Amino acid sequence: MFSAKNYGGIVTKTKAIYGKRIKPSDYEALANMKTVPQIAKYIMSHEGYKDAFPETGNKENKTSYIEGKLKAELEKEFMRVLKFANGDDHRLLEAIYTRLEIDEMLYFLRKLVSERTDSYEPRISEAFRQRSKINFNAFKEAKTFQDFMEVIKNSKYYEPLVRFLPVGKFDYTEVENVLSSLYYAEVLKRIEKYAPKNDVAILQDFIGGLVDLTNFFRIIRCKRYHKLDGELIYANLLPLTYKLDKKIIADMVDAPNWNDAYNIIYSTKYKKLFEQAEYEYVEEYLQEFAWDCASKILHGNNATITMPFAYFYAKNIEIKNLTNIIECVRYGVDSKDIKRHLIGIKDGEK
Amino acid sequence: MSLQKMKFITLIAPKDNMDDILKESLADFEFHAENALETINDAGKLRAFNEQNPYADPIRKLEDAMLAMNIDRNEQVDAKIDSLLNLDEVSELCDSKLAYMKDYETKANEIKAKISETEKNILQLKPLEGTDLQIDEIVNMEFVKRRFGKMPVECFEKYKLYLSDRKNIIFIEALQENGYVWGFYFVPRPNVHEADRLFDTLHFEVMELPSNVTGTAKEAIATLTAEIESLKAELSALENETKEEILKYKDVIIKYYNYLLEKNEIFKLRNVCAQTDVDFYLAGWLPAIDADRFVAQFEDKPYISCTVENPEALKKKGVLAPSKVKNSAIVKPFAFFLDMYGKPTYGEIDPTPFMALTYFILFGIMFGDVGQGAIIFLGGLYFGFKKRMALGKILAYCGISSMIFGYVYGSVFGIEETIIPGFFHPMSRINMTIGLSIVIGIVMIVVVMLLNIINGFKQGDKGKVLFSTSGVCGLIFFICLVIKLGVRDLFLTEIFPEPFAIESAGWVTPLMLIALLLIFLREPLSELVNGEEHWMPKNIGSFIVDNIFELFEVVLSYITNTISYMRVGAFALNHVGMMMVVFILAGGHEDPNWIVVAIGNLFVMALEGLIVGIQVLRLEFYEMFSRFYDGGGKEFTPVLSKK
Repeated sequence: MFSAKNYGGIVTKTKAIYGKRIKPSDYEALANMKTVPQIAKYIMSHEGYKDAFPETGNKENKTSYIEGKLKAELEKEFMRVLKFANGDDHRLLEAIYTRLEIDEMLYFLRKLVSERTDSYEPRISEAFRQRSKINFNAFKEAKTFQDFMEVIKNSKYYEPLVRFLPVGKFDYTEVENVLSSLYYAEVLKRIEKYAPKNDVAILQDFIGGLVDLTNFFRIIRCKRYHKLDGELIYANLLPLTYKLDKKIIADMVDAPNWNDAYNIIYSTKYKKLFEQAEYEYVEEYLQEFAWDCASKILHGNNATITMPFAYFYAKNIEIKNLTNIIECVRYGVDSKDIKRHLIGIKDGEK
Repeated sequence: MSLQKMKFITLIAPKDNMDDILKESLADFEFHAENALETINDAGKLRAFNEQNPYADPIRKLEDAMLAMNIDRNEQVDAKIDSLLNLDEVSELCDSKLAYMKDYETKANEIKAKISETEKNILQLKPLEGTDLQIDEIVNMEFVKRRFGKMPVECFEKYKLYLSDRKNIIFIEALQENGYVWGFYFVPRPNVHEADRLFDTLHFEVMELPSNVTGTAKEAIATLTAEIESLKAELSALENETKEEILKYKDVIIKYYNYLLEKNEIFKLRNVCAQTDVDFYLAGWLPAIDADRFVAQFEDKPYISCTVENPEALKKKGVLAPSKVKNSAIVKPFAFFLDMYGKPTYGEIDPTPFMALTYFILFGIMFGDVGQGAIIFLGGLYFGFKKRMALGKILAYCGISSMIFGYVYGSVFGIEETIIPGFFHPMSRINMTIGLSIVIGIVMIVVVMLLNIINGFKQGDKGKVLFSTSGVCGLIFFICLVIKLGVRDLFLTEIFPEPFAIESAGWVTPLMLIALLLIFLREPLSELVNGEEHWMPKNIGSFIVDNIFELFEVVLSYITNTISYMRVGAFALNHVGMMMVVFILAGGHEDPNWIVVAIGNLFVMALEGLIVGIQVLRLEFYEMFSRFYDGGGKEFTPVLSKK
């Protein structure tokens, strides 16, 4: 009762938005479509996204436009939910701001790496931009990593990235690694400090699991594709662990090949996840884990602060799924193959 | 109290001395420039100036130099420039000073870097300070290799988490700063490559001890400390030298800057001037009282032609004179509200004094309380004079008005009739209060209609005077309507016990209908009296249908505008009601809880004061201004004026 009284508004809002999600039948229909305009039309007429596309015109058939709008919708919905949170709950959910800011910075940096900064347009709303210490509009003028650093100078991201400042030191993967570490450290800290007692363990299992699986797929990626070993792999890991302790990590790192390292996961608490679903890429298990945790929370009856948290992740995965479908249809991938890469629909609606 | 009369000036003078002529002729006058190409008759022969501004670049350089030298550009210097300033010299001076400052910065940064590096070296030696070991021995240890350096904090976190228990490596953290962790690692010589590779992956940057560091750690620290002192002294000397250099050139730079700013302002007038091959044309407005004096300055200069025209002549060309409002200090604070609505159009009545008076009276009627008014008055004085807030002075007036009407109502902090007896108590005469507010509304509407008629006369718009909804016809219709509706019977029988003879007069209804018909035909009739050739509506059917609906709205607006003034009385009652609630909450008038009374008073002052302020403004803008005031004027903005 107490919980329902505290979180009634926020949970009702979250559930209302979640009710408008893309269902497996939608995914089925989308995966069978043949052109991007068909997909665009379907998404635009879907209840959960019709407000995301206010304008009409030719640009709505452009992949980048649709992706940008989907991402913007995620942020808008989060802002809507955040309005219902107060005090510590608000402070806890603000960790998601960090995630959104990091995503936007990485989006810009990808443009920088591919020398397409001219086409950069902030994907996040004006309201969000006003809350941020980063002037995202200034990225439009930035042409180098040094310019980028100048824009983020007054933010918490500057100091961790300052070592990349000398010309030639910027490496996208390393920057992404640093920013992810910063996000996970912050979100875990906030959970410990602000989450209600009963929710701490649920949220720690959720985020801690993501940390573990991020480390796992990075080890596999280092060993399988980059043929790295020993200390060089450690440099690619997050400076955090949860249930995969130091010893398991060391075993994976020291395993003679990636297959052996991969098999170690079956002796951990994540065994079930890898047994239940079958994905081609290890990163997809990370998404599956996030979807699994989020949907369990969202389908539960406990009205707690974990719900909006879970919703953010669930929506993020939904958007990734839609983006994947668009990309696959664009490149003529078969609908069966498309469905293999979709997260959260393997066992039907969870 | 009104708008200043303007004259339109056209100045034609040789281009050779353009800047000097502009400076000399405009310096003592307030001159509002217009675009000459758009306002001069024979503009066909003229062309715009397209010269590049020669002052922009030196000004930018001077600003850069001032920024680099930390010079306040607003500082006043006495020195004046007597001769013509060479712009190349200014640029050269700026370049040399910028180079000097850059050189200083480089040198200072080098010294600071050396100091920082030496401090880091001391840091390396600190853990060994208590030993008698020779530095050489530490650096050249036979079995153990020592390295000092820094790595990013997040890499250090990884080291701590995953790699710190490697038995053959010891890392000692010395300092964390700016996202880096400084420290040593010690490793047996056979494992040094493995350790170097490990720390390399963690982005560890190695720093070596300088070769001149010898002796024990303590001695080396003393040497390095002395070195830091010497570097600091060097830095201080460099800073002093730079300060002297800045001081030496500061006045010159500010002097050049001010001079060029003035030249730049004059040059920028080319944007509004026009030219022929030999002359330049300047056009604009001058207050009429200055026109003769302005023309007189060219009497002994036959090569300069200056013509003066009246605003009416320019109005025909579609050029409106700017509005230069001159209000007395008493009503000036209310110009803040007027600016929200818009500046008066030239030729229009400046409504500031009218607004000041009506705002003052209406606020007091709606919020009459001696005690609360006094607090609002004091608050207004504080915000107006101490904090320089535009609203502050208006608040002070509101406070005075509130006190005056509080005295009439006998209300002090909501205590009615006890401290001051008062003459009129709204709550005991509710009908009368509402009725009087309707009467106030009727008077106000009549006054603003008269103002509209005056405006029409001033603007030479006969249609507006005669047939507009707030013109003569509107006024007649409104007065007839008031008589027909019998306002006296509704509310004021107490004051006027006998009916007016006029109410039963037979001419009221026909007069009202005639006025209404003329309002219906106001558009064609206005065009007719204003001398337009094609005054007949093109489509009679559409004209009739449109105007029937408009007429309905017009008639309705007379009634709604009048009823709108009921809020004046309603708020007077509301104030009494709110204060009654306060006293009920405080336990009655006999022995009230004074804390509740104080909080209640503050609450009522804040809430009701704000609402009444907004409501009065609403009456001003919607019920009054909309009937007589356009507010579409442009502000008089003088150029180059030293006045």
